[in-house]
Amino acid sequence: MSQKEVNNMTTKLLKTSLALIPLTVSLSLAANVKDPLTPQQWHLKNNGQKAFSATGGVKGSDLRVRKAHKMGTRGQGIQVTVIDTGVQISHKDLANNVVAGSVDLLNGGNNPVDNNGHGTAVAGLIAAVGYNNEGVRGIAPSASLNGFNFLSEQSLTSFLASHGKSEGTKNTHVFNQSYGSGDIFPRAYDIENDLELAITEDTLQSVSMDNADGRGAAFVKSAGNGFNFFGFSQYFILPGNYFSAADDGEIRNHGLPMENSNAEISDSNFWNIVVSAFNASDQRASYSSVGSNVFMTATGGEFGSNSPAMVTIDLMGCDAGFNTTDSLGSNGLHGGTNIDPTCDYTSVMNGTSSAAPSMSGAIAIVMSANKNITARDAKHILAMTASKVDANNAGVSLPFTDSNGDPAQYQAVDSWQQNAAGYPYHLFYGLGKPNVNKAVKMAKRKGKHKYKKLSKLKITPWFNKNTHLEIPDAQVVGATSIHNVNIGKKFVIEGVQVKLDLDHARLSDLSIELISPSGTRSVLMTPNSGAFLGQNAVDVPLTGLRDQLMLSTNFYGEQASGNWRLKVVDVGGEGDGNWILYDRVTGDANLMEPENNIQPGTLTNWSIRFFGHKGK
Amino acid sequence: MMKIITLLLLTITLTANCLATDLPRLPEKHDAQMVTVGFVEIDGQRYTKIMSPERIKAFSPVTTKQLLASQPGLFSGDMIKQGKLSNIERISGNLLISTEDKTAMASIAQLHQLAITYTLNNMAILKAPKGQELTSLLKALKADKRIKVVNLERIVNKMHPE
Repeated sequence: MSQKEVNNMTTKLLKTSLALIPLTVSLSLAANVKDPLTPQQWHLKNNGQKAFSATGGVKGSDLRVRKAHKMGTRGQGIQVTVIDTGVQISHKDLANNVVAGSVDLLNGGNNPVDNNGHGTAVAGLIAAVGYNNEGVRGIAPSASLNGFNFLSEQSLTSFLASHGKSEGTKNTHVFNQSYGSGDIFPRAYDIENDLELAITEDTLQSVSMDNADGRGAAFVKSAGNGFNFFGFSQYFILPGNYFSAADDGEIRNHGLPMENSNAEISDSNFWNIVVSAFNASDQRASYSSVGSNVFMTATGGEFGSNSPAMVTIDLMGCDAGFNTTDSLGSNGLHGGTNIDPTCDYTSVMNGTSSAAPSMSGAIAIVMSANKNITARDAKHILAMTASKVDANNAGVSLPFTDSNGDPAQYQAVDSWQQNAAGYPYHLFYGLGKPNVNKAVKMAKRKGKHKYKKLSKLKITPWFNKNTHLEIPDAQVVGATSIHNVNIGKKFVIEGVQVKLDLDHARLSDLSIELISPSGTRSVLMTPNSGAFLGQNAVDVPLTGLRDQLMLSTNFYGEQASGNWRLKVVDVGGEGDGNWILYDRVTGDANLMEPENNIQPGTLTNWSIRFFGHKGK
Repeated sequence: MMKIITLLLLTITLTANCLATDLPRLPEKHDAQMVTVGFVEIDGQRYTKIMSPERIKAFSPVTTKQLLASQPGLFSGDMIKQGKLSNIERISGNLLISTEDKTAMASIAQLHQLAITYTLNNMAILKAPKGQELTSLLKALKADKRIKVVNLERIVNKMHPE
């Protein structure tokens, strides 16, 4: 090296060092600034803290985010829109991150009034201002934020405004949707005749691909809180043994989800990134709905009294939100305690409502780590760097009496499996939980190990298969239809959708599986689900399913071409299939006892399509 | 299809504590307290028109029976329900249509005196004038050969924080 080169390099190094001084100073100053409640935010770093509840969780059951924060990657430059009950945008721990574009969809104006507190708590999880000596810290504490009170006014016009078709959302990178609905009737995926469905789906697609100057947007959605029971209209829908299980030494619904998240048509949509919830003990949150459509799982917590819920912001004041004067004594934080005398924070926020913003925050922070990547890349990076939750979960084996009167077992939920592309997956947890530090590191890589962006998203046409297969009653053998799909070129799967027609007089007996050419099994619909229980609760019972849409994330990274098998198994016999219709107004609990199907069911038609990209 | 539910069921006795802990009751003011004020047929299906007790009071001294007789047809703001096992739907006054030829949208709107509020490919959201009876409008739109599909927008507000 010549003297000139040495001099040049010295000058360069000096310049670089000088340039780094303000950053170093600001980072070290920032590191010294405390958000006083952050040590209780186990979802950021779980060291077993109690988070104002009676017991603590398990060290490491978190989002692995602190290192990214310390490195200065905090969601800056990324806009997140909270679509919820509203957002208290004037909250002292949010206001500095709030940008224009919020809308009050109920009354007009730009203040998305939140009379509930839910949306404000969600916003706090994503982007409560960090390092400001106030309360809590968001997962992406420097992300920009706006909000819509869509849950107060759910018209199609409100949907469009809040989901990307308004001035205030055209630069949004992440839309958080901590909401959902339970249903007991199927809704056909018929976009020719259901124009609301057609318009909403088209909106989600175009905004996902094109928003924010081409970086696209991620629509993150909660899977639901209906594992044990779920609400529909004025009712709760409960498994038949809900009240008797403990006395009879049984597990409620045999350990299967009452609400399978794949039944809700907006959740089986590829564009929604559906998230289940895990708790501070690294287990499925007790309430979390699950299904093969779950992309990943994220922090949701429990109820904040016996074990930790989420610590986040609350509507300001002791007369509003979750933390009120009345709640004094319910945990260590609420009721105007010395820690939070003005009740501006809460420690009882939970639900997949918390898991969705956990994922939204993770996506925001990864997008902020590399301004060249799209929202879809951020999702991909989080999938590649995900880790297992509840690694020893054994799944669920359902005992039943087969049609010969013999005892039988059916593996309704598998333990953690690995698909042919090497991704671990589980029906409860999708591809696992975010490891934000690892994801940020991958997004920031430079040189020959630089993250390579995904090629353009491709959507195949539907591949249709007509069939007429009998589904034997109460037999594990089931009915299997094979469909050879030849896409020709190498096609890497990001999501698979199936829609199917079948006749069956008691749909809750059915388990619906999809098996890939590589042998990966995904249970699209678990048996004993409440999804279609309305079938026999009306005067003219429904004969089965028509164009029923289901999504699986479990084949992520696999190749699409080859023989796909759809298997439908009836695992319910005489005396099975009971459920309870609980009236939330009168308190009456009515046991529904739909008779077993007299005729075997029939699978008549199914179609499959793939979302993904060209590659090996 | 989804008419009145037949409940030939066993009613389970539960303790109040169990209910309070696990299954919270609905607040006293709830949609379930709505009062039937009429019936309407949409797309061949019969629906019950309902109204909140507060709104009925606004009609006072008209009785519910008189109200029932005075509310034929379907208007923006009406609420309907179909059978016990269904959600309450609110009529927005918007109609969603799809056409073979998207250039026909403007003339369709003009003919039926509707305002176009949103278009997407060959689909549009059209708003009916305030006070327009909607079942007859729906029939007229269905009879218009340029229109492939027409849906009446019904707002369910079924999404909940979760």
